Amino acid sequence: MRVLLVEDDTMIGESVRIGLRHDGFAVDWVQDGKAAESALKSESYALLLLDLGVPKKNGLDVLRDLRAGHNPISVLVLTARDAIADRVIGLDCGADDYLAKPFDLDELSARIRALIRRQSGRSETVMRFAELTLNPTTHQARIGDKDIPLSAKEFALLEALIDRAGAILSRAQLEQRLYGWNEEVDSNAVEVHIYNLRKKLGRDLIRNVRGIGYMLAKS
Amino acid sequence: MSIRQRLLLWLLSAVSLAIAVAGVSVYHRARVEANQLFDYQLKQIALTVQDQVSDESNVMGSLEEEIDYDFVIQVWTEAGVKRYFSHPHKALPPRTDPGYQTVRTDEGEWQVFSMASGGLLIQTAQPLDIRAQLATSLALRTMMPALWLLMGLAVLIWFIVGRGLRPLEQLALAVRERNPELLHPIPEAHLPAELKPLAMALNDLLQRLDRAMTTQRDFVADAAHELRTPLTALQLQAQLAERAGTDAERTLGFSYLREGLKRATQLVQQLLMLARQEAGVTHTLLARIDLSSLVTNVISEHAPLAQAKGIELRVNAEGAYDVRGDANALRIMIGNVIDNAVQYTPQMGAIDVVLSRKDGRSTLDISDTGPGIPGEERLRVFDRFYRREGSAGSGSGLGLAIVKRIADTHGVETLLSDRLSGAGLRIRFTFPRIAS
Repeated sequence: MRVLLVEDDTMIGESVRIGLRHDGFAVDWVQDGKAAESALKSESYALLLLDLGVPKKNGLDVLRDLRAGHNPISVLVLTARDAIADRVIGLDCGADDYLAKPFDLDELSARIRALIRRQSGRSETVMRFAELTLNPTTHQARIGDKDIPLSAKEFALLEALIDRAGAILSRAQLEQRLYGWNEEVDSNAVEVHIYNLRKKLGRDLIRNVRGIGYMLAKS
Repeated sequence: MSIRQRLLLWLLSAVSLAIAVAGVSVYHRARVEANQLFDYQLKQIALTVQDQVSDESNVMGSLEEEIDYDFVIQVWTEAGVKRYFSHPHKALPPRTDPGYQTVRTDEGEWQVFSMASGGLLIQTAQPLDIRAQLATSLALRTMMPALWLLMGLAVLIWFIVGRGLRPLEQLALAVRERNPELLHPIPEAHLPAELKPLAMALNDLLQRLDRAMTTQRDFVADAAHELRTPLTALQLQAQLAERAGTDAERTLGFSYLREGLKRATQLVQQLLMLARQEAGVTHTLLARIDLSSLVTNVISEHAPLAQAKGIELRVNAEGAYDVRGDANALRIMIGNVIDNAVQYTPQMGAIDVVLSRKDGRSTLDISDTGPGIPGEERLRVFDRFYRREGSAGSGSGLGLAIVKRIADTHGVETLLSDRLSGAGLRIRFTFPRIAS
């Protein structure tokens, strides 16, 4: 899952990026409202993490313009302003959720997962495809009753495929969901992860559609 | 003692004194009149005695019955033979010269009247204290109603004074109703003229208090808000360190955490410093300080940091520049400015510190070769927690607020401008003239 983080404080931004990456998210981080808008135009994100007190263009204005342009992206507002009036304004401007500083990294992850889950119309916390179940909260993957240990990137890749089960995702699309801007991506990184996943899950689950990309297939 | 009791006491004392004076004057008047009356009586008795004795008839007894006052009548013949003695008084002198006389005896003073007539010497006498008694009783009787009046007056005074003091009680109630959250002014319109100055002074105090409270409340709210950022960073950094899977991650995590702690600590320190300055340093403003050595001192503290950045620190602070103030506060003020200068001046830049005197006032100029501050922002940079957009570093936004606060309490004028030549910022402190 690729998320855009808009946060002007270097320490907070850095920590959130590292923490979320640890939880399997790909995080792009910008430090002002203008940069956030151009990032939103050029990339597609599953979620926007928005600090309201950012320079150049404040978070509320970014949010308002986003909704005025009918962008349906899930927005989680992060802010030091936690008066009820501030929350109401934030939510009325189109935020999907609200987290006051100081916040807990685990809570942030959980809320992001909940928002993404709601966005894809699921109410269950686990994702299913045939025998395969994924739990984004615990990062557990199972086939039947058997736990499959996966690395963070492998899990994210599988999550991306299961999230759009039945559709073919190109290598570029998968890379985009897996990696933030600052992460080095080997040209064959996706292939390596697919190779490892097939070793762990069996050859038939992930099908390679030559020249187009990958998809999950029921055997 | 309450004003009511005091007024009652003083007013009653004054009225009592007036009554006493009136009593004494009545007594004196009565004495004079009693004297005239009794003297006349003495004479009349003597004349009556003369008539009766010369008539040779003996009706002395009936005369004695008529006179129930303590009279003594004595009659002698010319030869000195006692003819009549109403009742003997050894103490009385035998014979006196004709006319009125006051005679001092063992039984007190007596008024004596004597006359010679028809070969007889007639003398009538009466003790003086009878007259005093009469005058006293007359005076007391006259004054008695006044004493009753006095008691009524006491009750009246008690109530009238209480009524008169009611506005004071109401004012006290109004003051008691005020509290740190509710400092609106006391209505002055219906107050008596005597209380108006008090109410006005109180309102002035309330207003200043309200302003101070608002400033303090804003400060606390701002501080609480500003503390969230470093605390958020700390919480996240701690969690990252906790989650670290490898030693390298852990080391990195802890180094982030240490940075975060450093920032939070600095913010708290600056908040404390500012709070202390807000509390006022006026009581320590009296010390005479050699600005030249103070500046040199502060510069030498900052020299290593500047040197590490390759910044040239040029100082021209020689001469006698005495100012009045709190040396510690001024050191913080100058130190913060030099801190900023070092932070914003690029490598190989320069900072100039120059002390001079203009119109008898010491002037301190600190200029750097940093990016400067555009004119429209020059006032705002002194606001608490104001951070210039896009400014590097993780400053608290309090440094210049502290500088301004200290400058204000010392009556020092602060002026931001461009550096005289080339890009950069100049901050000028102009100290007040001091009386030598």
